[in-house]
Amino acid sequence: MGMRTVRFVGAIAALAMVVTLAGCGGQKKAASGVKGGPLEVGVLWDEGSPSYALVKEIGDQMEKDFPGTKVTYTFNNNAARPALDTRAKAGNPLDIDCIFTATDPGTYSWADGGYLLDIGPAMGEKRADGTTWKDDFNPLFLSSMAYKDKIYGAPTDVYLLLLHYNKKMFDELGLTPPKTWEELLSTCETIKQKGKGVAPIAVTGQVDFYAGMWWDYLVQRMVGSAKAWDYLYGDKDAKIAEDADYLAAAREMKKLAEKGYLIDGWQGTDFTTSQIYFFQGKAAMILMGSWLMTEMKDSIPADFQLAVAPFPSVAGGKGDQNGMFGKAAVWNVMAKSRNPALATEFLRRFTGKDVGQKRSDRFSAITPLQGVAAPKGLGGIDAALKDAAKAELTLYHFGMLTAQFGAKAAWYGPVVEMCTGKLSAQQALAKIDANIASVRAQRKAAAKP
Amino acid sequence: MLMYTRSRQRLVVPFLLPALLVYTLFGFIPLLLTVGSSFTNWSGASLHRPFYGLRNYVLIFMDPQFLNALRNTGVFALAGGVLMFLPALFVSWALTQKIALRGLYRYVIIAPLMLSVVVVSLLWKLLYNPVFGPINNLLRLIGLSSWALPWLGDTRTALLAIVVATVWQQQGMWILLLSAGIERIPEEIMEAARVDGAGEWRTFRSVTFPLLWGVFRLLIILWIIQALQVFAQVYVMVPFGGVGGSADVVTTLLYQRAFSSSQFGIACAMATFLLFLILALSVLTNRFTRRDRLEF
Repeated sequence: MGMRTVRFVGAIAALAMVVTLAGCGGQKKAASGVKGGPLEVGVLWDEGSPSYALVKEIGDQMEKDFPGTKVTYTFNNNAARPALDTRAKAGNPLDIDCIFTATDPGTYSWADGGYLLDIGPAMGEKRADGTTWKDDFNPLFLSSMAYKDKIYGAPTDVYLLLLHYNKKMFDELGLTPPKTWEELLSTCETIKQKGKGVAPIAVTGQVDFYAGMWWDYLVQRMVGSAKAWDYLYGDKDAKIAEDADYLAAAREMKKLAEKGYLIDGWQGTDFTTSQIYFFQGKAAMILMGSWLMTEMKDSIPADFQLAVAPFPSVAGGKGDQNGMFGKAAVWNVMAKSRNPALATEFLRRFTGKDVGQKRSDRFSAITPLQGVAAPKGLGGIDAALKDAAKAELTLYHFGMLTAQFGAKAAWYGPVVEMCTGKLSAQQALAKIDANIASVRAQRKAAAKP
Repeated sequence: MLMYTRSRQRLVVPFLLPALLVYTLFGFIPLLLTVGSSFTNWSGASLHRPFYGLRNYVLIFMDPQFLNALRNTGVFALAGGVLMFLPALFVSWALTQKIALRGLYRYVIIAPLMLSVVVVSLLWKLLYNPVFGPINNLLRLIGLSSWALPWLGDTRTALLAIVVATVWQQQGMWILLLSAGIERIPEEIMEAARVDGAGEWRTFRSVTFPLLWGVFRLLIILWIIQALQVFAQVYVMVPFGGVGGSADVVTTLLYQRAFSSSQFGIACAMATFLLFLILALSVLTNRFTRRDRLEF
């Protein structure tokens, strides 16, 4: 080995050492003031599952890095919630739980009640490279973390409602994913004419809020989320039957059915069947949550080219034309955590880019983190997220899935009926008005002291 | 004699006790809790159950979805009753006649009873599938394409389609019980009617049916109780109540209110109302179908 080579190797080694030390310094800074101790972490996954194993990897490392740390894992799915909520209210919460998302008003009582730790200061701490933990996240998802100028959580995964399409079929027909509503209608027409029996859109009439995704997006684009949210949850006796924007949205929705763009028998098809139609190449597009790929992975043919695109914009619409419906799985450090600094450090690692990349690679999860490669087999997701970075994120289904007094059926039922041809657009809106008026009356009667 | 009676009574107690204990634990106490919770604003996620008085009962009658579900439940009971009992009556009579392959017919009719409600519901869901379901494919094959409907997705047919599936599965039970009732009628009475010149129809109408009435009315009451509580078939075939709630019944609606909207108080009010409705209808049916007892 010559002198030059020795010098070169030495220089590389020194550089590597500096980089390592800098990295360590960064980590130390982020973890300053952290002392070991017991830590109880909520987990949504069965013991032994790959997702559980990944969380445990973090916990094991924490136990090594902070002597005296003992991480325990508590199942915190829906079934376990009542007991955990009672614990939290009694001042004995998990240290890390999944209890609050800032896009879901139904969870605000946790923040307003002081049950959550503001991790804003930790999020804003500068790292060695000058960036912060907060900088790791796509700005689209900050609205699910921040509430009343405080940051109450950090997300690991995100679920977005996206237009999924059969890329191979689109390529064969010379189509590109529609960017505008007009393009969507003309794409549907082309598929109907040239698709050899392929239906443009797979949808189910049996699950009202799945067919209702089209309605929600049209309302979001043409009316605006805030106005819709106010109509659904506000106390005013607003009516939409007289509203030109709502009426236009309903008419566009009805067009899909009237023009024969939906799969045959969509009214009586359940959602699994409609998804299978799509993956069998009997339909070209499906509007669905980004969980579709993992949910149907066993039914997706090997040569199927799945791609996604944002919902098209609508010319002249009054809403955010890049807005997205979705939900981020936000994890929170509880205010009464026995060791808030340790819990925050755990969350920082749990939502770190390295873990995010593993989640993307191993579970095809879409992460809210910038710079993490999207899961393989879901073309277009990176572009969709990039385009939506400055857009608004609305909780999917306008939070209707858990809304009380039958608001979900009140909102979606008439729209599905309209698409079956039983109601006109105007009648559907009038029926929604009547339904929502009843929901409001029940809400008011229930709220009386 | 008195000692014997007392010792017998003492013996009965230990035999009844386990059943009574199980019934109390899993029947009576939950029933009381349900009725009690119907007067609270319980969310299901808290130990706190604020007293709410009769407000939940007012709220359910303000809810058009509940009224729709109540109507659908009534339609299910009525349509199911007609489709169940009229054919069951005639088939059970036919199966008591001396016909070839009687055992095979009985087996075929009773076989669906062996299947669970969930299996039957899934089976019919597939049969009703608008695209690859055999019913629509058969209709298309014989040139009746216009009759090929999205059975579970059409507001006119969804509930009826579930009734048909239910009747298909359960009719065997009623046929079996009615057959047993017919076979209990002494042959001499039938012979006497025939000797008096009555034809088969007249014998059935004037002898068999009146003598079967006791069994028949009991089965009607049982059907009312069962039909008003229908849940599994509807939940499996149209988990979200069908288009525009066309197949929503009270039990599926209360399940949604409890487990999707965390309104356990309201769900308990619906369940309690259903309980008293079933009791009332059973008592009324019992009273209005009672006839003089025929001894034979």
